Amino acid sequence: MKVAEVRDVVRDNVGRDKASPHMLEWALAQGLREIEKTGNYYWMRAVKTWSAVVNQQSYSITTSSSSGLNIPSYKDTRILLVSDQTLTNPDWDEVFGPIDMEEIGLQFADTSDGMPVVWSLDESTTTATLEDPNTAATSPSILLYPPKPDKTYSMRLHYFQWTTLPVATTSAAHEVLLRWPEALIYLATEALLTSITKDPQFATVWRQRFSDPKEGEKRKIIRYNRDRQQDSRIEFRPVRGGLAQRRSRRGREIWL
Amino acid sequence: MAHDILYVNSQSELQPYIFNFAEDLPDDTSLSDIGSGSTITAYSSAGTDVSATILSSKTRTNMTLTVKIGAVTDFEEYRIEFVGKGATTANIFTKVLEVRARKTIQGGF
Repeated sequence: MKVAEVRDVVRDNVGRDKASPHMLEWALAQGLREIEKTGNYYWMRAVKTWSAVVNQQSYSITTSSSSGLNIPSYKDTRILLVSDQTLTNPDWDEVFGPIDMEEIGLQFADTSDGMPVVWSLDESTTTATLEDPNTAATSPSILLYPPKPDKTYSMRLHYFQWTTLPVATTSAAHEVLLRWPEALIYLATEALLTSITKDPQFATVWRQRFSDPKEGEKRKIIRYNRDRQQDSRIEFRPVRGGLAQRRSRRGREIWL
Repeated sequence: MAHDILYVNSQSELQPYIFNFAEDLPDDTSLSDIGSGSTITAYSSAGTDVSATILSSKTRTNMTLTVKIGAVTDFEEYRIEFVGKGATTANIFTKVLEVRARKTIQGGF
């Protein structure tokens, strides 16, 4: 569905033209945000490539200061990779993490240098001082260990980001609009019923259509998301023998 | 919040629209001409000025501004700003028309 089609349905759900344009835009943004708060979904995947700086441990995720990654829409991490591009045939290796800095900090000297092998994610200052996230004045940062990279390694962060709907009402260029418009309609309607018509009881009906554990859109999204996330994995399951019964048991799969 | 909402069919429809500024600029008896203080501008939902595409026949008559709206794109939602400038006081009042281009739900209930 195009943005305008979703807007038309939401408008009529709460009573045509009770919602002014700014409230309607807020409701759709709120609906999308509520969907994305429930998990890390395939349409939220993104990649950021940047270069480590020699002797610099900390890199801001949300800002560009001090060679930061500048990802204001950052939500969550998938995996961090590193590559030494000075090699003849450079490959990519995983940097393990995130690991709590109070744990990994015990494993390295402050002066340890080399290729990043572990990383930590914390609200921190550029001197890697752990802060209380409630009062942190600095943006969340990636801390590399060993603390002093000895080269300008190429880094690649695969992450999940908060997404936004297209601005143009003629557009349908968002996975939620293409595949899950009902979820967006339900939650946007809930937001408007609560804020404009002051009917939280009726609003819960729309929330239920999203979050119902059996029939809700959230369940459908999560199930489909699970399939999409496993596209590149190979599953080992016994075909015959004494462990064959494990084929149907959850939590027993072995992944590559 | 728009002063008015208009549904326009995207199939070659051309709708005239009139805003009267008499009550909003009570110390004036006439508006400045369009281009000399009074303006009519259309913006798409992406914020792009699309006046040249969807607006035609802009006219001022005493305290009214009139424009014809057409050549709209289906599912687009336009914001048309009518800026009236009093010829005597030079006071300015802005009225907003929200235009929804819908081929299928035009006409209301």
